[in-house]
Amino acid sequence: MLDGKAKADKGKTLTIILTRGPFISDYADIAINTALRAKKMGYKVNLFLYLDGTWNAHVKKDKKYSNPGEWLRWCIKKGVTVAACERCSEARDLVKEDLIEGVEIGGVYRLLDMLKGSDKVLTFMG
Amino acid sequence: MTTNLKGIGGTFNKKKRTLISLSHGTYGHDDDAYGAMLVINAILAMGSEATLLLRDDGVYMALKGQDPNEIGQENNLKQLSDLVDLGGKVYVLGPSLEARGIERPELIDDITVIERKDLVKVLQQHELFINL
Amino acid sequence: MAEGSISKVDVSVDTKGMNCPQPLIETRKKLRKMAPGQVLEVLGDHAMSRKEIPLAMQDTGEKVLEVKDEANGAWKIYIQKGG
Repeated sequence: MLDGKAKADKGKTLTIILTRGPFISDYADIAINTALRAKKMGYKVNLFLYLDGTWNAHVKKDKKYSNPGEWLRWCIKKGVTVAACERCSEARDLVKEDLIEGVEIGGVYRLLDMLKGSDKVLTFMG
Repeated sequence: MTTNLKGIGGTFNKKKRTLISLSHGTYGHDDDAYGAMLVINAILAMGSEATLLLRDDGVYMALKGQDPNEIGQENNLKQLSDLVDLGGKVYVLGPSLEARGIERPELIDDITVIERKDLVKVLQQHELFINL
Repeated sequence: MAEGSISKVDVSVDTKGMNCPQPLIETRKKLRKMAPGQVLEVLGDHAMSRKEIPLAMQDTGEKVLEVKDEANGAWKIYIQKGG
């Protein structure tokens, strides 16, 4: 998967789990841009923001520099399913209104739904 | 360290079997460890098969006698106990234990120590892999 | 389901105050120790678990007999162990 055999892999489902927040490491950059690239290649893509990964959806304002919030908005526009963990959001006092529009808040059950239908899972954490 | 893989095997289950590999121990990366345990226990509670592989600092998770109450954190042994109650399996990577000077008697009972050579067999028995 | 249709509860588990997914975990732990046909009563107050526990039971052949809403977001779910 994602190895150049795009025709054979088209239609398969990739779930990406991101557990790191914005601006602390490359993980948000790599995870979200991998999601975008995979979507462009024809995969169905889920992105689950877990633990500190939920903070990425809190970056709502435009910046003078490239940022995870902007990439997430692109993901949603391109049809990537993006969900933030409910328990993790609640622990960080994040509610739906704090998050980028189009990001669902779902429990761990939402992640399990994504995993059930997935052909591959990538986890970005440190 | 001895390896006992007699319990491994069984017929292929049409539901996907998930292997969660945890490389973080307790109380310093507690969110990662706790977060991993919630995912695996939820998978088991949903009726699917799941296995926990403890490697690197994740092996600290299986130490007996943990008591983090004084630092105001929940004991990860409770999550491990839930995993076992839910029918899940726990493997601990032998070389990670040796590197940390941890002996088998220091670990809880409901785990199986495996060696690197056993990893491929474990991987072959699962369809989804999550590294936390 | 008719309210008050549960005539006998064999086991009860209180998950009030727990966050997802702990209510489901506690529910499943109890069910694993019960005999087929026995009825489990789950008390809780987590909104997402109220929706997800019945869905999880479908996958494993358990029968949800009743979901009862109570005051202040509390709920009760009655599950019959399959088998």
